Amino acid sequence: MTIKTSDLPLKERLQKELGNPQMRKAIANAQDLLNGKREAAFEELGDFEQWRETAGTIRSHVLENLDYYLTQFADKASAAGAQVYFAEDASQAAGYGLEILQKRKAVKAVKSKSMVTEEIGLNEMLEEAGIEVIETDLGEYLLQIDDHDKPSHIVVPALHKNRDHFRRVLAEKKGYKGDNVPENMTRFVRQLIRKEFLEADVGITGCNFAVAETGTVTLVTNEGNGRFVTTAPKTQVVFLGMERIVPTFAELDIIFSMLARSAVGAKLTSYMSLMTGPKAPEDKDGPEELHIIIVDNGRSRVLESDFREVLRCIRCGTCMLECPAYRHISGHGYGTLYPGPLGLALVPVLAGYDDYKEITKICSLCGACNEVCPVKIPLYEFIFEHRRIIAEEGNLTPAGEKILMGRYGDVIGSSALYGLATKAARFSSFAPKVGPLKQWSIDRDLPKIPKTRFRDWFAARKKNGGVK
Amino acid sequence: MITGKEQFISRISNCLNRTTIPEKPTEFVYPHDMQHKYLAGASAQELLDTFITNAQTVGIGIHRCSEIDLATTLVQIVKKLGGSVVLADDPLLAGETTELLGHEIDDCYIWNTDAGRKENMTKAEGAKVGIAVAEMALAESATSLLFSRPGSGRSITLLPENSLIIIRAETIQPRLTQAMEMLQKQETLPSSVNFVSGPSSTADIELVRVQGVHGPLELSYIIVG
Repeated sequence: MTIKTSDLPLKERLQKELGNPQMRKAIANAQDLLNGKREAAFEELGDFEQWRETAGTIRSHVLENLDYYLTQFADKASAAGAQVYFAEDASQAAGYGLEILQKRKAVKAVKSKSMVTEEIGLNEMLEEAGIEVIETDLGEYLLQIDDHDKPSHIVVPALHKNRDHFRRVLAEKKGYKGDNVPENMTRFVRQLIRKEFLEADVGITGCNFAVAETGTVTLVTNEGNGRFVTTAPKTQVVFLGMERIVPTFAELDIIFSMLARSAVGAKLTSYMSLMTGPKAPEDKDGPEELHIIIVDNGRSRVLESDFREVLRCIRCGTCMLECPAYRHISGHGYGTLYPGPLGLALVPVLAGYDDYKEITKICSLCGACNEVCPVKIPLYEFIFEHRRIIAEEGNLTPAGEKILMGRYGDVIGSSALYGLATKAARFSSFAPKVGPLKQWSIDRDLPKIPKTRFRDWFAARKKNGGVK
Repeated sequence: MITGKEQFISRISNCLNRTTIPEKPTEFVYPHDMQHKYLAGASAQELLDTFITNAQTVGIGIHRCSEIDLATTLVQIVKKLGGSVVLADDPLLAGETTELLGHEIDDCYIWNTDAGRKENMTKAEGAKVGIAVAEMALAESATSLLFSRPGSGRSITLLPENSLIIIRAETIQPRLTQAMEMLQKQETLPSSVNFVSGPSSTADIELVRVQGVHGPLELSYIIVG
């Protein structure tokens, strides 16, 4: 996979997703359930605003000093025995990953879920070279054996499929003879993957956050696959998006406190692994070699742009869970690896307007994402700014847009339907006052929901030294 | 070894409107101190109670005993679970506890620093129960902290179906904040620090929670003291 996950035109993609009632119901249920859990978790923690302001400030500070912290991280990781490689783009990153595996004559690799490896198309490259790659996150595994279906959410990838579907897939592809009870299917997959873990030559992981002061990489999972991938194989290859750094363990505390609550409504996930260097010489398990590949792939373009703060993102998926548009079209409707409000703010600058102009119109500009982002990314302002830039370039006209958006616009643009389809109470203050079909490109008609306009926000941010 | 650093970092510096890496980062001031207020001033008993309540909420089994009774407590639990044991080579378990387990349990393997990778991992994979000792525990999230050590491999609490983690009551701290402070004080970090806060679980199929995916199906804490 790469950043682009669908070749269908936007309109067709939206029609397809809107015509899938089972998916829409599943996503709606997921949003309601996970949003409720998240709210309860933050209520227990207390002072949500203080927490997210602190988390946002930390992330902003790292971006401002990224050259310093990346250097520090690489030096410390190397001193701890890791081999560090800086990759400028997708092909360099995936290519170097392949080189490591080929040098070790690897035939099988186990992977724990990682967005950056999807972004650089790693699996495809390894598979073309004849290396078997096994995704070990349950949801990712089920999608992989389901003819490489695409994830619809960055944390819960298989949200769009139900248990009957997976029973059929497991029966057809892996000879499963049991019923559709999730527990029984999970046990079956446990047996299958356990074997793979123990046989694999290489473990491939992402990294939730790297700690500059110590050269530590981290992995957060509930299933335990992250631990397995970093325990059994003799070689571990870590792919790290270059912005995913914290200065010290003290900041890791804040970020992880936000991550688990935001992603799954838990205080912490079942497992958090902090790994510094390869295994010690006297250790009896763990990787003998640790490779860390630091990936740019467009991030420096984001860093130097007015959209820098979108790199604060901790990949929790909260903005997607809160988004009324996402609710109707799932991650698939966006056709991008990073969907939802984050995707709309990030992808056009990460990968360019040429391919990612139209998707910005998916947003109804309700502003709900801004209120929940645990690192206070001004998602609303960024999406609006993308649209302003695109409109000012004269690329889109309201008439063309109407044709393009079709039925999607009817659903997301009508407050009556929208009210029915979402939790009225939660969103009552955000009811979309802008039909995405009409006037979003006309500055004076924008809704008054956001407290500040982008350019005011941006000016204030500069004045405050990059914070808030 | 580091490859490709200079060119990469100099591009980042350019993006940040400078030509060289600053000697030190800009000053960072925490805007708030909320992380230190969580359970601040809680007594040892309150921390213990919170820890136990939170553990039970997420399906972690709780056993309590004094240090003198640790050996018999472990034997009882292991016998109930049935099957073989792999346990960490740890001072808290050495001596009487290990001897009693070895005597009472048919197949009891102590993580062996003299044996190879394969032997240790095969034993762990074959064991029904894995026993390790936590460095610290956190009340907020019912977390136990495990350090990988020559005598205590990562596999012990990962491969067997049942995990038993021994926690000294006096090591229970309020939250993640204190654990991170402890890590910052380490002269050398172990190659792996694992924070365990529940049995392995998933909700990937229709968001139905299933306990026991790749790691242990069951997790229990034995609180000593």
